[in-house]
Amino acid sequence: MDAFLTRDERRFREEIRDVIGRILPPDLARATRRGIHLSREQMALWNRLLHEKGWGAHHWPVEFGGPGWTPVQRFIFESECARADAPPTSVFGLYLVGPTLYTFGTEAQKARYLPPILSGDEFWCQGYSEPDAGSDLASLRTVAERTEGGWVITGQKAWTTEGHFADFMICLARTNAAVKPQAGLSLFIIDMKSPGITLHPVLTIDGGHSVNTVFLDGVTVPDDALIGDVDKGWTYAKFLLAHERTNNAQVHRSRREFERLKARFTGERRTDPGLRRRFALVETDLAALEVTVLRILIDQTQGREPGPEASIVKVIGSELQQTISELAMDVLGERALELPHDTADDEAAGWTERHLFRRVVTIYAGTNEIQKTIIAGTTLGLR
Amino acid sequence: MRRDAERLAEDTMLRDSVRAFLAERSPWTHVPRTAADLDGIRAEAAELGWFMMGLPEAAGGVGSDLEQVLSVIEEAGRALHPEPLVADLLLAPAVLPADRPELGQLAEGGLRFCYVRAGVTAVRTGSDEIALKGTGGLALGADRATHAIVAVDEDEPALFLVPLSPGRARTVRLIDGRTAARIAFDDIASQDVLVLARGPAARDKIAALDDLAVSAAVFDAVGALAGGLELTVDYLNQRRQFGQTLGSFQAVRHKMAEVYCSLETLRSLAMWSAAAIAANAPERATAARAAKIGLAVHGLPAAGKMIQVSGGIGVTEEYRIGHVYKRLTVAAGLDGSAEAKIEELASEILGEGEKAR
Repeated sequence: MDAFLTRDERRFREEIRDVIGRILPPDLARATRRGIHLSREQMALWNRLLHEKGWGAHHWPVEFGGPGWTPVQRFIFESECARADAPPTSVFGLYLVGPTLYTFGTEAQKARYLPPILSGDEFWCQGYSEPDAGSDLASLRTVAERTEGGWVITGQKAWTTEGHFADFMICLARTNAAVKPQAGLSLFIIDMKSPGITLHPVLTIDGGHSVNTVFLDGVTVPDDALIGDVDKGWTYAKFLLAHERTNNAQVHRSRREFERLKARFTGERRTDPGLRRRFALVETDLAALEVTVLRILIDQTQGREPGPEASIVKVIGSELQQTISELAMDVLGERALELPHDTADDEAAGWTERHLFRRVVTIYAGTNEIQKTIIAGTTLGLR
Repeated sequence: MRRDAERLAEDTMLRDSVRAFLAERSPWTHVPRTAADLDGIRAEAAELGWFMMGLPEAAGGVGSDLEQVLSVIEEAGRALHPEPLVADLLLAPAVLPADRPELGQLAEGGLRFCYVRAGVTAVRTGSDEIALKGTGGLALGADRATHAIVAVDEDEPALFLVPLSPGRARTVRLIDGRTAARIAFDDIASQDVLVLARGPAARDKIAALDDLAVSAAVFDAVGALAGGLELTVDYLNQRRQFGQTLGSFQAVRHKMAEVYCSLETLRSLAMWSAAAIAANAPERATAARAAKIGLAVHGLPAAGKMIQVSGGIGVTEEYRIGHVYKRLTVAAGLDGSAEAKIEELASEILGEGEKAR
């Protein structure tokens, strides 16, 4: 993609590469290759190391602690982190809660919650989905009732990623049953140590534990736990999901993994014309996605609103993640069938775990079917 | 892609004017155009300065950059304009020395170029005499071209400019309404042949021309596909079955969302190849290969999907979407198949496939 980068941006890339090479502990890079579910300590360590450089939240505005990079510089930074096998930083605090709070939160909320997200000292989880409210999020049934000086929240949250080690939950709950479903929701901050919270782990098909079911049984939160205005939660949540989307292209991780897969593609398999063809097609699609993401970011850098193409990167990026890990399974052969925890082959373990877990990427953050419906309606104008 | 506000305004003005001109002077019809009709449009386009766009300033150029010239190609694709423009607007200006009189004639729209890529060899017949042998591959516009840019890519690569006498080549009508020809070079007198480049310099120029030709063909396809998408969205919002618009059915909506994903994927690949050409970046050949592959694996199936969602009308000769499909079929099939590019790309990223270890 060098053709799109300025001389300054290429120099910036050298600087970033140099620093990451010095500060990333090798065992953290190895853990990132080995599996998909990193511990809180591993993610926090990387977040802290970045924070010491002033890069803890590279996409936040300067006034809240961001480094003041352009969108293209952020693209380069993310690409370099992936290239070095740096662990992904936690999505929820940095990408969802941070932007929500600095956009809609009070001064007190910003002062209390943003710094520990930035430094990696506090972790968050997202309490949106429920057993009967997945794609149809607005039908959620968790209720928040007014009490003296606060709210009492009761309900059940599903697919709560990192809930088992999060300090706080950003929770969407119904505050008004009398209006249409979208209009009666509000957004709350819940301390995960509050009485009334029970957590059940949910194992995913890769055998890992990253998601949970969370029961909220009369959990009391203070008045200042409310984010923004009462009954405006849907608007804020939609804003949040929009933030999730570009991140969900995951183009840098895909590039890194694909480059590693090329290196692993050795021996007799390397002459297999069917596999070679698939490699060439992935190369094409990955390059195209990199350009599409850059198109959006260059527009932003030049002060233009992202064009309609911004709506497609989640669909394309998530499908490509799956295509790459499917290819990996065929490249690895029988090795890929061994239980990741048992195998001595680190790289194979990582691929197998990612492959299985990544069936989720076309489902989370708005299923790809929902995304296509949005593209057809909002972007194309089909009626 | 990085344009300041002034350049962007210029881009938009150019694109709008080209679109408006083609909509008025070359409205789509399934009826094949007459040569006289196309000549008339060409003369007006020349007055608008189209053929000066790609020229160096010394040769009367107007300082347009590659992105702008490609936007004209894209608009021609959108209109399914049957006149081949790539060799005139891009290839000839890229290889002819700035002092050649042909460039001045080209600027006025008086010459037509074609690019002959395969099937020709050059033989030394004297100390400084060259004779061309063989028949070139199918070249767009070669039936009406006044000059051929001929690439000989063998042990001693060379690039020639060959004036063509009228009626030399039999017109081959293509499925998409455009015309082409295979030119036989055996009896062309050597004194008529201008050597544009020879040796390693020729090899570099041919590679650059090939990438430029592919990039332009993909921009043409992007335009055709984008025009087809607009047409199809309109149609789906009007046509009703079971008491509702076709555009309201989820099966149709999702297919159209996929078409849009394919279109933007192809556009990104086209933009990458253009940026790599403009910067003469090391990734230039890779990007052109990827663009051609994208044309075949994303563009063409997307055009097919639009025929499907249009229903029966989509396969009729009088409706435009089938012609979009044919335009892309021709683009994907000319100048080497996408399958060959896929194998080239595989070898580039994986090595030749000899047994490792």
